[in-house]
Amino acid sequence: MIVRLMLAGAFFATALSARADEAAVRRMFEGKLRGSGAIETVQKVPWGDLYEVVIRSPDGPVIYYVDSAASVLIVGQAFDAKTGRNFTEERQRKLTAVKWDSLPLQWAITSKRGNGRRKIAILSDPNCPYCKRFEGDLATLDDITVHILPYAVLGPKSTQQAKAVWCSKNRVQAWNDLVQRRVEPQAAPDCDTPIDKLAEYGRSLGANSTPTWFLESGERYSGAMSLDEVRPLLDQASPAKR
Amino acid sequence: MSRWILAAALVAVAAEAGAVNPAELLDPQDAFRISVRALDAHTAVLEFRIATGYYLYRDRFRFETEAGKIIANAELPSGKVKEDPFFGRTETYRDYVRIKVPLSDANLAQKRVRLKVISQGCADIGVCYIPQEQWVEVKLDNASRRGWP
Repeated sequence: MIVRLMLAGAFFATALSARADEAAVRRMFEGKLRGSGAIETVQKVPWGDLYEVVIRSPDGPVIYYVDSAASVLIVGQAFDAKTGRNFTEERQRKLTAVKWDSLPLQWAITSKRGNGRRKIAILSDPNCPYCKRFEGDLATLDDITVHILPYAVLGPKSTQQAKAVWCSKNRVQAWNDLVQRRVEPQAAPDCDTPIDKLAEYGRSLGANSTPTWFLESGERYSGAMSLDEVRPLLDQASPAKR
Repeated sequence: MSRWILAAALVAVAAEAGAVNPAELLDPQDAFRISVRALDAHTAVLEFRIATGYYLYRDRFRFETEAGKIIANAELPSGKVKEDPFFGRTETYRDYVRIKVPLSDANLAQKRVRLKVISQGCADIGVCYIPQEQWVEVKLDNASRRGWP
């Protein structure tokens, strides 16, 4: 009983001092921030005697580190020296993650192969060469559901093409014909389409590059990653059900 | 955001610019750093310093006056030509590009001219950026007297 009390007391003391530091860090940052950014969280990092400060900027979350005396600001990435694990990148990914269910998949062009177990949603522009490569690679995977969210942002031509694809009878084929084979969609781009709404949606997420994609875990990535890299990520985010 | 925090962020990305992986993707304004000055009272010179591993498309540049009028006759140097079986002929700039943008006579009386610059580029690691819109201000003070190589 005594041991337990002592532990509780020790815990209480560290919690209290941690809070005091936290407040100092917060005060220091608040004094420097004006206008466009706001402090989202301040917390002690589990890997060292530093505080992580997350600032919510118009372009998304930004991570800074501050010492507990709130006298030194560190900008950069923290790695586990032994394993090479990138702590900052992992946090960044958590902070930019979305809820899979919140993605507007009703606006997606969806194709499913095999049992469709592995899920991915891609903000893709028809004139982005890396989107073409990424989608081409994914097309070689089995047991996958690919949701293409046509993100027509690279120019007016993209918007016109994406709308024509959406107005096509077979959207999957029209999209793949355009992106993989450069066959222009034949449909007139004059039906009711979600293309403008998707452009707005992507911008609201701060998606300033294509392809930007999401795993079923909601984690967000940018760029045409190689199949060797993306396959384990897909399997991890969408594990096989037993 | 306050000035010193942004400055600190810039130092960090500059250090990373050498080796690129998706987690360290530069923000477009850091990948394509713009500066401007007046060549003479009629011409602005825009310079883009492009980070290693990044490139800009020649045909995606657009320049507008503050009133929204498109400036058609900017002098864009030839880029690196690529005949892509898929996307056709594209010209791109790497490392550095200098563009001359003519200013209209209406600007002569002004000391400062604001221009809207729209550019678009990609990174070799496999992403393309959405077009970037930037406002630059050209100071015309003493421009005609300033030498330019």
